[in-house]
Amino acid sequence: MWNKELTNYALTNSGLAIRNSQSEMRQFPRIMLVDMNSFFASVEQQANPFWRGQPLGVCVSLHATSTLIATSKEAKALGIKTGTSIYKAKKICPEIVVVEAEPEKYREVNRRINQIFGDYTDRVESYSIDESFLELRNNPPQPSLTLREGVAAVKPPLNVRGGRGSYKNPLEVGAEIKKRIKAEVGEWLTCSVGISSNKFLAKLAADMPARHASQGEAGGENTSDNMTVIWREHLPEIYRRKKLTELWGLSRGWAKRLVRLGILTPLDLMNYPVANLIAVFGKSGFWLWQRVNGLEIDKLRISDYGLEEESAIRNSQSDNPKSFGNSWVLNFRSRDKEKLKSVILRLAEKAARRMRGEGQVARGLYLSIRLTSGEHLGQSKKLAGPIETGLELYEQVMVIWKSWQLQSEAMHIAVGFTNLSPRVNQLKLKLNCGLTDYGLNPKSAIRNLPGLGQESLQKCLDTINDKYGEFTIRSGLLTRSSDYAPDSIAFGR
Amino acid sequence: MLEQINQPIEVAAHFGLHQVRPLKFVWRGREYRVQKVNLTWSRWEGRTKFYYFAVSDNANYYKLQFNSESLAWTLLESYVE
Repeated sequence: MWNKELTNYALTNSGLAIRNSQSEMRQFPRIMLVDMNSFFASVEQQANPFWRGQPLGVCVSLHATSTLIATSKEAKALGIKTGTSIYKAKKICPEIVVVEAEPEKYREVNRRINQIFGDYTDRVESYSIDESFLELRNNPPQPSLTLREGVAAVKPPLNVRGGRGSYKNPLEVGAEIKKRIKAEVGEWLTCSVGISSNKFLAKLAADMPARHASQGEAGGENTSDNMTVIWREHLPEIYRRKKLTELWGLSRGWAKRLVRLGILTPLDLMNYPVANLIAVFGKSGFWLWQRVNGLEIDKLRISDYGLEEESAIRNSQSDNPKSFGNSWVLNFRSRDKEKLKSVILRLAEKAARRMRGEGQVARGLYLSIRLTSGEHLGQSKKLAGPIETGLELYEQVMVIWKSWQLQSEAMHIAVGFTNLSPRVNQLKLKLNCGLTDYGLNPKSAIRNLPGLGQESLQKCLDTINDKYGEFTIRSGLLTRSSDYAPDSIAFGR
Repeated sequence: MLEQINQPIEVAAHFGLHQVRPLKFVWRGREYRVQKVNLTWSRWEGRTKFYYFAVSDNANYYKLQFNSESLAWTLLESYVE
């Protein structure tokens, strides 16, 4: 029944889409993606003008085996991309500048850029530290009424810099945003702007190379500092030049499944009967077809304006997080399992804060460690009940940790939550549930809270750390752990 | 070459509307004029807010830090071409 209803909706929608294409030609697509180019590296070059124009890489740790988490366009042109080890980068270019990341610098720049966006629309989704989606109005919006001291005041609509007034089309807005970022935030900062009818195509547009870009360079096509509009009528021509795995969110696994259906290219996917996709892949197939055809399916997750309802809608779509974890390439080498425990706890606390921020709980976990010998130890586990704190994850993971023997020094640790589901009610912290106490004082406040309740304590801890910074208040086990797994910005969301 | 300094300095700054601009600073008895403020940002350490200024003249880059609790300025690093 559900499938039939969904099929009817999709067919109706596609019919509407075809009929609308004529009228849409008079209307600009209104979803914009602003994607800062080589963001971390560009911010470092903005700060130090003597690094501009030079190959530069940003890392979390200056250890030779660490990887670069961002590279400048000059480095990319030499083939040094995100994920290249420092050792390999210096082999390619001995003069490359390598700097340690300063996340608060990038967050500040991100905040200022998002303030500019707020002058054009109140519908902004800060998708990641360097990408934001904007939903612009296509027609001059109606002025809104506010009631102040019993007197109705007409508030003119948004869409103009520095105030309210006449309407601008998305191309004008995009050009103005680019100019203002340079003038008001930093002259070295550039961005790619993609405009289209949904987030998926706006991303595709932002990733398209500049019109007269040179090709065949070691770093690939130049996709920086451009602005591209994709109209739905042009999709066949655009998809003819693309591979399935070049589409946003389409993994190799997905591509293989589509190939089994005879869908070899994005054009094949666009033209494939949606009813068949639904029959094979269910909801995911429907959403994929909608996205590829430029039909709106993903609501913007509005930053700072978020409604509970919109967050819930997002969680019901296909982009739910599957896990929350943290990993760290150690800036020291050790086989001391006691010392490494505090690293694990710190990583667990970080992952837990992010997961709680998304309103999720977990019924699974994983722990993995890579040793200098090349050996890799890893285990995942399903849990009988949900957990949501770093301490709970740590306690569960210690059971696995106890059984491991480290034949050589640890160089990388990863720990995280899996089997996620939305938090329905506040959970009671389940500590020491038949597990051995691994150094945690059974008389400590976190376990024995007359009156207050453990869940209220966790909320208080989160509020303090939100206001004053990560680990401002923390477990005593983490007293000397500030150098472990330092502040960082997650890739993507 | 980037060098870590971490030494106290004296700074003359302009407090404008919603912004602070270091104009010059004195380090080891020598005066350095700031030609450009390239980037500013801040971070909390506990209850203290630190402000950072990436500044340059025509030959060098400097990173200055202002401690809003103690009102002290520090030259954190310098880069000389």
